[in-house]
Amino acid sequence: MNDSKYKLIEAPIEERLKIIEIVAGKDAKQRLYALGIHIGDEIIKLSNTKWRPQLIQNLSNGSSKVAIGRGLSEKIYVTKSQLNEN
Amino acid sequence: MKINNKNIDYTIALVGQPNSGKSTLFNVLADIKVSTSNFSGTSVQVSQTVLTYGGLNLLLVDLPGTYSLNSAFEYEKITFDYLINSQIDLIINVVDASLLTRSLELTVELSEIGKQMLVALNMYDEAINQGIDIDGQKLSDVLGTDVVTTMAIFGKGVKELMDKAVQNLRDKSRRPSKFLFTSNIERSISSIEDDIEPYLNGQNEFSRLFAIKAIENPELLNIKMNSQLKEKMKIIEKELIQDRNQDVFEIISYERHHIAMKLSKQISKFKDSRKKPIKQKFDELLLHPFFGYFFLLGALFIYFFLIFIVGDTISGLVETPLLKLTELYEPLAASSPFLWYSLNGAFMGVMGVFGIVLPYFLPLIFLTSVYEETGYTSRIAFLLDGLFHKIGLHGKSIVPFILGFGCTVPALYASRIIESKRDRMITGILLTFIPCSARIAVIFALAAAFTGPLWAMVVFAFVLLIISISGKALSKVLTKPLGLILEIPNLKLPSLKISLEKTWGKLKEFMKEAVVFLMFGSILLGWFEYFHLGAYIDSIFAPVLNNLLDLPIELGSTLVFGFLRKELIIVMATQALGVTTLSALPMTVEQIIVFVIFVTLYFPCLATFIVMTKEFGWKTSVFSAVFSIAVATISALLFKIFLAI
Repeated sequence: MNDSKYKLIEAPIEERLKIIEIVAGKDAKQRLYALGIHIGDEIIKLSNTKWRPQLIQNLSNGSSKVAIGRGLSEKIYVTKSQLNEN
Repeated sequence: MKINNKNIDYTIALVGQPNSGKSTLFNVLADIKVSTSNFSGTSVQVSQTVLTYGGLNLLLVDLPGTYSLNSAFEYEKITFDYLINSQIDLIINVVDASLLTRSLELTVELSEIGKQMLVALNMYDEAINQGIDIDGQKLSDVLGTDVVTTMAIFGKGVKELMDKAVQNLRDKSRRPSKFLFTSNIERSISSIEDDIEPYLNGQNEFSRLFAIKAIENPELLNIKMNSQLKEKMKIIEKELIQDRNQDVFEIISYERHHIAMKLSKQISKFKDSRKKPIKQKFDELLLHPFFGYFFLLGALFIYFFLIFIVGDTISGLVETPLLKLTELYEPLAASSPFLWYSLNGAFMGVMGVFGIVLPYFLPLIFLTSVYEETGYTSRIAFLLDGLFHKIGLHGKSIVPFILGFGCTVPALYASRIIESKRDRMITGILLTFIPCSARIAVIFALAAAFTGPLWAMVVFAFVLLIISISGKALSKVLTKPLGLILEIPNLKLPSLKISLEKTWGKLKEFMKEAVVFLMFGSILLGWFEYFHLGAYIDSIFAPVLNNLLDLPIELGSTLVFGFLRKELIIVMATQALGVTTLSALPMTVEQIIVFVIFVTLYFPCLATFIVMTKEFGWKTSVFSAVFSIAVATISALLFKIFLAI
């Protein structure tokens, strides 16, 4: 099991990640929740390009891809999911 | 035709998340009507139609797509306001079956309204392709509503949906299940349901909904609570936060999230397919950090090439025969000049619409609709977000920006794809600086006659600099934007029919709202000309034009007429200064450059002003006009000083 905590912006791509903390403001949190992204959800980061937003997909609810701005990606904390090791 | 409420038996509201196929369903349903009248509702985002089905006259309302009723965005709040303030008999919740769990969060929230509800499980084929097997009957049982599987784009399941709708409306007995939150939240809800009753305006069925919203998002309700209730709310909030260590809006959102996940698990099975569908592989290319930009260039090239080519062709075809019509009232110029100036003013307004705006507007709205349908617009925004971030905006501003090089008016309409009001406003204000085709014509004509192409390039480079500085400055002044959170919807094949229908709807809206204003504005300018107000106008502008910028005083009225149509500036300038050819203008090269800078940057035209007022309100359009004139004056002055050195 890997307990390392990453900011979403620094997290590895193509690995199952679990959202453990969101420290953004109310509007940003509301938008994330409305798009079905919550703490505890398992996501996968699909791209890690420096000049673009982060692209994620929520695996917990089989949702479509969501682009998250780089600023906000600094405020979302993830950890590697235990399912990676299964 | 105006809708007469007496003829309406029931009202049905279509509610769903963005890209759930809700508007497609609306268009398909609008097609099966027997007697009809399509019209825009009180808001541009609400479409309504009357259809007769099963012997009932039904008013069908298509509400703006929203992920949740607690949206932070203005246009999504329209949905909640409509649902609680209008007489609605049935909600049809359009659910994207391929995004079942997330879509069910809105379904759970909608069930809190307590109205009769029907679920259209749309894009069912897409769900099957993704390996999602949904038990519709089980979903119907747990939701307490009828569930109909539909593939709206092919018209499948639509008849069954309407049959169920009529059955529900006649029966009236079915209400959606009540999904309970954890006990302490339920206790809080029950404890304020009675206190909230005076705020319901007699709609007591909303007591639970209002109690929930009062806890999670009181601003949404727009009510002034009395001190007793306020005190009670504070205690509830304190207790819930203490218990869960989260803000109240988060607590309830998490509860719904869990209810939806549980529901989804209960009624669906997921068969994981190891093979990536071709569509997914193609999407990876479209979003690729390198190849994605090749596709983007190609897509933008096709988009703008088609708009300019089609626009230019239609404009050329329409303008010449239309101009011939001026001969019809030409004799009036001598016999009754006032009438001639009035008619000519009105005619120039019509020319502006049919000769300039519409030819570009039509291919623009059609292609934008096609791109939006495929889901590519969101991908453009994703790819260009980094670049636009540098001037305080998000990637979606690219579409209106590039269109602005054709005509500012359709570009302003295209800004509707930007959700955030702040970003839309900044984009709109910056659009006035982008030289439209009319201004490009002025720049090139004057550059060709006096300065050579290099100066034209300098002007363009300067405009880009102005846009960057203004964008940065405006984004610093206005409240900080919400960071980008953008859904990249699954790729879909566009429907030509739906895109054409959307184009027709938007065209009607434009014709109804902008044409009359443009005609009256043009008549007013015709009267200015008739009463020889030119000299007065010149004297008003003299302090800036003559004293500050050292330009001929006669150009003042030229700039005012340029407000009607920018390409007229060249003709007007030669007339005002009494010469027949452009190169004979009694101006130095320095004066020409200063003049070109001013003309390029000052507010584009009357049509832009009218559309901007309509889209953003008069405060923004007046601010934009004053701001652009100030920027134009300062820039022209800087050039004058620079050239003098």
